[in-house]
Amino acid sequence: MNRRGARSKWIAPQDLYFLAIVALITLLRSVRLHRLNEAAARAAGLVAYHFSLGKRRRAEANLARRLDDGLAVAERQRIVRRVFYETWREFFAWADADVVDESASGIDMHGVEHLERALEAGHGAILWESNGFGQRKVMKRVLRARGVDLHQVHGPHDLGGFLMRDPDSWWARRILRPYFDRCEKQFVKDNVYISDSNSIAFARTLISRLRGTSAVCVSGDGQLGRHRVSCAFLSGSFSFATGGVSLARLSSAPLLPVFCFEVDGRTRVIIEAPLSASRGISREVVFESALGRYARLLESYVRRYPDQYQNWHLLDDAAETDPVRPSGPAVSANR
Amino acid sequence: MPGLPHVSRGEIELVIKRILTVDLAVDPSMLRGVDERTPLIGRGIALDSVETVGLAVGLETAFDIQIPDGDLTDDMFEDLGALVEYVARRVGTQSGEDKGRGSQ
Repeated sequence: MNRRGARSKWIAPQDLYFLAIVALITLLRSVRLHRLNEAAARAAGLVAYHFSLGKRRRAEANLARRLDDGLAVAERQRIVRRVFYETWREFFAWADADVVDESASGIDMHGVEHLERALEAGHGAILWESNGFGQRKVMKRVLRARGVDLHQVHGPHDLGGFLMRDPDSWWARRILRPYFDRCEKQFVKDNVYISDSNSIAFARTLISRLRGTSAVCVSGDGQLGRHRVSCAFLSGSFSFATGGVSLARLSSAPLLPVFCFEVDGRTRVIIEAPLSASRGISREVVFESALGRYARLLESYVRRYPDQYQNWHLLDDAAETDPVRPSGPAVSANR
Repeated sequence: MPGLPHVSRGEIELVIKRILTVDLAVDPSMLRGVDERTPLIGRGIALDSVETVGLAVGLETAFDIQIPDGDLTDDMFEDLGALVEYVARRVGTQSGEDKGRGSQ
């Protein structure tokens, strides 16, 4: 075993933390009570809200500055409390990830025709999701149930929705990542991991996946990317990676922004009309146009449903980060 | 250009520029003043990962070569000179292999 592997056999505090969460999810999976999942998410969200002071303060400050809506302090605190709950709710959704019943779980689908049209054309589709907005597992469960083969793109540090500082530790490689991969494969055909080294072979894999009834799920606002374009976003700016647009240009697969969130107790999945990524014009123009439109679209959802946006605490850091490294431990980079 | 065992560095550079402007729609004005030290990835031409793979596929077709996944790294696209060097080596290696197979 190499030196790194030998060193990594020790349980780091973060490994221990994730192992405890895996044990809890396994317990919830064995009980299979949706209400229990919700209760666990509520409890974890409340604990995190009270203990993650830095994250909470950054989220409240960014909410005040970026939303620019003159919200009262109490309302901002309510939104941030809900954001913590939504974060953990999305995480505990692993516990019932294999349960798919569109009508029973109260899911409204909008814009399915965009996806159907895309898949009929035979080039596959790129589902452009936000890595911090709403309930993405529900969306994928529903699409899988409709026969769509989903290929999920992950950053090298992704772990079930969180970021691991050391994804190469023995525990991460042997226990944690295989566990979450198994959970995810209940509704995703395969996971494509962006390499932590300087390899770019994953991009060839992605292009090869885009055909027939296959769809690649890629984050539109992920923190990984060798080339990014700054766009106006929530009274400031945000650097969006160009990879999704390039994938659409080179594969001819349409780029479909997709959002899944809860309104009045009902889950809504919205597949937007394809964003143009035409090959005929200059790439710089296409990047600015497609990413600008995506930024405006995402902003419109975040403004309407600020409590479903789990990245408030990252907004200011995000534009300044190293272009190929994730920005922090609390949100997945490119799920 | 299939079947040509000897390709000059100048020809390789021209093909790379053609793929950049035609297949990847890089603005031709960005290629003015480009030299062997111009970075292709991140800075300079500033290709993203998907575009570098598009460039690699274009080179495979143009020179009838195979670029293994293991070779697809940032180093290969570090700058124009590094990519030209890689393609020249690859064309030479594969034409040598083809000759070897032909003589058996």
